[in-house]
Amino acid sequence: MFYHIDLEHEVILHPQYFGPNLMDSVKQKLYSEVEGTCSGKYGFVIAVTQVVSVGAGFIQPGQGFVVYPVKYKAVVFRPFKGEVCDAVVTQVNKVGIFCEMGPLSCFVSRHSIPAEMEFDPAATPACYRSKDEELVIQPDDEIRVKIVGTRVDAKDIFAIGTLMDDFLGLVN
Amino acid sequence: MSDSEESDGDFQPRKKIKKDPGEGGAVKDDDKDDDMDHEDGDEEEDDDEEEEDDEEDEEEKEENEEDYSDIALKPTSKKEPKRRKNAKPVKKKSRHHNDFILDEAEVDDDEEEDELEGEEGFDEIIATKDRHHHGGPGEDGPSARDLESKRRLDNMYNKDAKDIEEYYRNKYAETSARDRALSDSQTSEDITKQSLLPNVKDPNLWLVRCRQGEEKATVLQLQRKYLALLNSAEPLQIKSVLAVDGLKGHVYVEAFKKTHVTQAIEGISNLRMGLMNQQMVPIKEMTDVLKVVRTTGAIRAKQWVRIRTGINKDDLGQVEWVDYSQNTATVRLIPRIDYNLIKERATAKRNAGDGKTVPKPRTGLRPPQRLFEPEQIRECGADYRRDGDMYVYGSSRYTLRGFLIKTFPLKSILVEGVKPSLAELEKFDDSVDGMDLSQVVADVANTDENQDANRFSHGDFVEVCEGELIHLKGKVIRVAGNKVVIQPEHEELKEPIEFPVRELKKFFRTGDHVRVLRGRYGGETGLVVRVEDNLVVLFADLTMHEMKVLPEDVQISSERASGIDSLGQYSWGELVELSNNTVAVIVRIERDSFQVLDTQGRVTTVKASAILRKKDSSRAQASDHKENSIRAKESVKVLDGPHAGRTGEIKHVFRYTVFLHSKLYPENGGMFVCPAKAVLLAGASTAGNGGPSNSNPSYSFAPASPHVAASPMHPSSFGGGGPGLNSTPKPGSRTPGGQTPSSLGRPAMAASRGRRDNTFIGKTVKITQGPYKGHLGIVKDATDMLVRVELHSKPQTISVDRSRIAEIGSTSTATINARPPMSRGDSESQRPVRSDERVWPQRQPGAGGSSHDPSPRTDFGTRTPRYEDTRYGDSARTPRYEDPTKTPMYEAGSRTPHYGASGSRTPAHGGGSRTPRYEAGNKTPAYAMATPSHNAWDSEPAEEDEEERGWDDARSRNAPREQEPDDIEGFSGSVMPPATPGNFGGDSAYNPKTPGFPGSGAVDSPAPSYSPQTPGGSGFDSDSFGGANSPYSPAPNARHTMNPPDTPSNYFMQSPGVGFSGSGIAPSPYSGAPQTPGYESSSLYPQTPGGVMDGQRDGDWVTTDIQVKIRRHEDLQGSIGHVRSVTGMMCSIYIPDKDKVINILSSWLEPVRPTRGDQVKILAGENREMCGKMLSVTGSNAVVKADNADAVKVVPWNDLCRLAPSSRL
Repeated sequence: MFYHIDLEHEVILHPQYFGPNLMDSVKQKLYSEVEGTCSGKYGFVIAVTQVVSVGAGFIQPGQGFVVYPVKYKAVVFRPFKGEVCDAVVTQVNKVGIFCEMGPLSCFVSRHSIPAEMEFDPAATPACYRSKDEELVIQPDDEIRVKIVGTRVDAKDIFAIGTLMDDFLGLVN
Repeated sequence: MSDSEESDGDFQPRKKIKKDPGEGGAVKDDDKDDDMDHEDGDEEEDDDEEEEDDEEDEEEKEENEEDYSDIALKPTSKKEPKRRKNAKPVKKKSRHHNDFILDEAEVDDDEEEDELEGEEGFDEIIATKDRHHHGGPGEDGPSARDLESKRRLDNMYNKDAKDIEEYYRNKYAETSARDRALSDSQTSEDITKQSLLPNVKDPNLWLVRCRQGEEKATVLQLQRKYLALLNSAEPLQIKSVLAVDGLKGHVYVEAFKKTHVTQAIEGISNLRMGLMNQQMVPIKEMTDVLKVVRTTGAIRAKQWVRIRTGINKDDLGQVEWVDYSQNTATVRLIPRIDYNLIKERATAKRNAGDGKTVPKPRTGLRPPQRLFEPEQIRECGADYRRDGDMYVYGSSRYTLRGFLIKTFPLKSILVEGVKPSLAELEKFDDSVDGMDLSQVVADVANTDENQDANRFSHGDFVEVCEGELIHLKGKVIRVAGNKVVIQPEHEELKEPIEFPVRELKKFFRTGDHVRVLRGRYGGETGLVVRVEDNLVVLFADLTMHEMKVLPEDVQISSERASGIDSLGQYSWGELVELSNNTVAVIVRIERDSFQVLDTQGRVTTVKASAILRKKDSSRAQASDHKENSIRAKESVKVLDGPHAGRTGEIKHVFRYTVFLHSKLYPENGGMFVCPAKAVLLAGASTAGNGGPSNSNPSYSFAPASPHVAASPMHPSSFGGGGPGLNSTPKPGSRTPGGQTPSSLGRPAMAASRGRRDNTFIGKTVKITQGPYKGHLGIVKDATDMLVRVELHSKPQTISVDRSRIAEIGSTSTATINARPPMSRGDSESQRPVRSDERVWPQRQPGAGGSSHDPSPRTDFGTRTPRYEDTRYGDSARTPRYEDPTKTPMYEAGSRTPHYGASGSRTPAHGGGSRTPRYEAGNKTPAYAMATPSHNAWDSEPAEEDEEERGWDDARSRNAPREQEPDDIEGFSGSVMPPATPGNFGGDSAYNPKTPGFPGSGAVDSPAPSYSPQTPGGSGFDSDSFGGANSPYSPAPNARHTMNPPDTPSNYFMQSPGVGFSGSGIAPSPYSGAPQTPGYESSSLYPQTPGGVMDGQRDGDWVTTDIQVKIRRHEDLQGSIGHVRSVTGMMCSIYIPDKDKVINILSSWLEPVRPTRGDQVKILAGENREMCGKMLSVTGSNAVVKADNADAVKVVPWNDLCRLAPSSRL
């Protein structure tokens, strides 16, 4: 699920950036340091939408670096159990399907793929194919997945999903 | 529960012989029992009461009746019938006083017998015999009873309803007062039972020893004896005989006196050993004799057992059925058939016929477990037959699937504590029809369950799997012994409920994150992807494997650990030494063993103790397909072998083997192994450019940032340049001095080590890895590999690996890592062929760095105006810039684009930091540079005057290199690259590529091609450019060497080649190409005729769907074909003329140049792969209208290739 929330971050800036574009540098650094990261609590930071405030910088003794506490708003993506997402298939093997929902990688086990879809290792690329050959899931396809579990690490989130539900599977 | 008890009761081997020796009359009515109905019985009972039969015996009897229903259930009550029998004589005595009563009593008595009959089944025999014996006395019994019942019925019919009601009320309501008083409480039951206990008046039990295993037979034998002697002068005086299941080698005899027992057992051979000594069971213990202990080890069908004895000792078997009466179980197991023996026997039989010489089974050896194979029996010369769905061979029966079906005495099979291993189960499972593994597993689970009360722990989520509350789910809140208290999750059940352990099972939902507690996967964690009845499928966090485990063995894991990745001192992914010269990488860690992937690609399991030691491969290097040096942490692409096409990061290098890791490889946790020769460094060109490619173009880092400062040239132009460049550089001075020399200087390998890197000294760096991570310090000294850092925080100076520091203030941490110069050194060292040395001498003997610098420049300036045009983005180099004429070329932009291209790619690399630099530095600079550089150059050249040198030098490569490095430094990554080429060679991929590739990277990198040219370099030296040419083509090998030099060489070459411009040196064209950082090269080659020629080297321009001309082929030379696919160096070409597809080295191809109006594909530059229509050609540039965009692009004509007609859809 996507949230637009307030977050904070401390930007450490090298003195070389002190100058007329200081604030820009801070923001620039904020973007580069924050966007694309992931925390277990808030999920993936997709984009910083607004820098709410840049606090007073604190010069680090002995270094000259300055620490700016920055408050910003960002769009974050936090996957939850039960959520239904569209994903792009990145890999298909006998164990299941690996797919990505933006920054989130997700695994759909063979057990969570409807039984009528069978793995076809002979095809190139390998794919899951329904018996009537009508449905084929192969890398780069879009599928709709329901997340059934997540593993949240400090810096990453991993999800496992299922296709065994109504309206899940290949998205045309 | 009750079931089991009942069944216990059923096979309680109690055999009783009941008799009233003296009282034949008591039995006389037996034959009438059969037609007795309940009402009769009831009435009689009633009558008894009515009769006021006060005698104790009578009352006792009634109680007995009451308890009847219990007999089956309560083993302790088993004695009652017996006791009653004892009582009988007494009762009967009293009956004799009154005929009326006698009849009733007899009937009643018979009832009792009935009950017993049902149970034992042998009373009938007695009854029949009795009838024979007592035919006379029994005669009037029936009539009396009939009369009586008739009379009673008549009475009843004659009464009115009220009377009848009263009658029944009395009958049922008025059971004995004592009964009523005692009937409803638990205690009353106990007391009731108390009264049933044997007392001194009752016969005693005598324990008699018996031959083991013959207990039951003995009992039957005694019964027969009893019956036989019943009517003799001396009937046996014993009351009963019984054999108790749990007691081996003894039977009990019930009798009043020991002599009775002795008399009874005399002559029974099985009891001979008991003849001398019978032991009386104390009264208090008599009940215990018949107490049924719930046998925990009760054997049941489908249970797994082990055989205790015989050839199948310790083998696993499955119970097919159990015959309790015979104390045997039929077990299905995997036979051990000695086919050799069969063969020998068969042979012996044939030969001798008399069978005397039948070979004996060998002792000590037992044949392996193998399913019965009828064919093999036949082959051995023996025969078998079919019996229904069984094979019969010898005395054994086998199922159609080959299992042995054999009956064992219960005592020779082990029932309890059997834990089949998975391997054993699999053997069964494979071959068992209709039995699914989960069932097997369930069985195992059930077997274990009683022993494993600890499998639940607080917080487990469980489901009730037995009893009324089945399917109720809840959370364990307490475990006490065999009881588990759970908090149910139910709308209406709020109170904690207690369950026996076996009624619960763990419950998981898909998506739960769990830890495996024990078993093969013990310690791993994973996400539940599937839950079946007795199976949980996990997706391991660490290895991305699927694991199947028992629910009992997993537990919801609150922590988010990622499985075990270390055992002892070894952890996942480490290179370990298994024995001398054999190493392997740990790909999986199990409980006390590792799975390792060896250099052959095999995965084996080894014990921790089998590992000798860890192996440090961090310094190991190997050469890839293109002789690039590769080492750990570099990213490579696999060209050949089973893993062809994969890319991976090198984890370890061992001799000629590399262990790679790719997240996309599903097995072994993504680890796989390849010969070093089968991989290509990422970013290196497939076409084999040797040298430059060394370095990974890798996105990685801009090695250079530090250097930035150093780059002399840039300063001016870049000056403003990226922040990255810190610059401060004292450009001029340094370059020449420090770096150049170094590059030049090092003749050979190894030399590079330990060279001082002055440019880095004095910088403030941050340590990014290791124990000092995070510390800041000032660089006091630096070499290729190490820097000495004086820490800010401590009065200490430490040595740190270069890869572990980041320069403060530089945007990219990596900057520092790769020193272009150094790298060069490395690369150089690697390349044997370096011509530098020679060259130098020739031109500039003393040639310090400085000289170099100039020289190259000079060269450029003077000679290669074109160069620049062509390729040379580096303004610096191109003297030409100045030339107005040339300038235009410049502007032509064609190059620029390239640059840009490179730039664009760079980003891809991911190095955000670089990108910026790129842009800042590179492009602009490039342009700008050009001009400025000119100046610079000019001056320099002037100073040195060495155009000529330049020439020769080409060798200059050195020079060029140097310069380039400089540039690089200045530019930081991107820029540098060009220069770098040489540098990195070894270390950073970047450099090499940089020039050309920077971005594009390695992949296409034409750079290599250049190298080849380089060889030419040597040629140069020798003489004329022309000479140079020749070298080119051949030179593939040389390339590597050259690479570094390339740049320079290129220049030179180019200049000649430049031919365009006028210098007219044919060869030069190439050079131009080569030089151009890779991009161009690629494009150029194709383009430049000469290049093409030489071009053999380069195949990287090849892409799909284009038309190509085959330059070299046995019989297809000159044919035009369409590229179908490109795999590494090989292309699949469809030749329309011959209608066939061939595979050919891409370097043997040249693109078909388009003409106006053709559909084209762009082979190089930022628009590579773009398709469009060529609208016109202007000079060396073509105007292309892209298919997917309206924009019109100006592209070097040489970068175009005609699109295969068929590919357009």
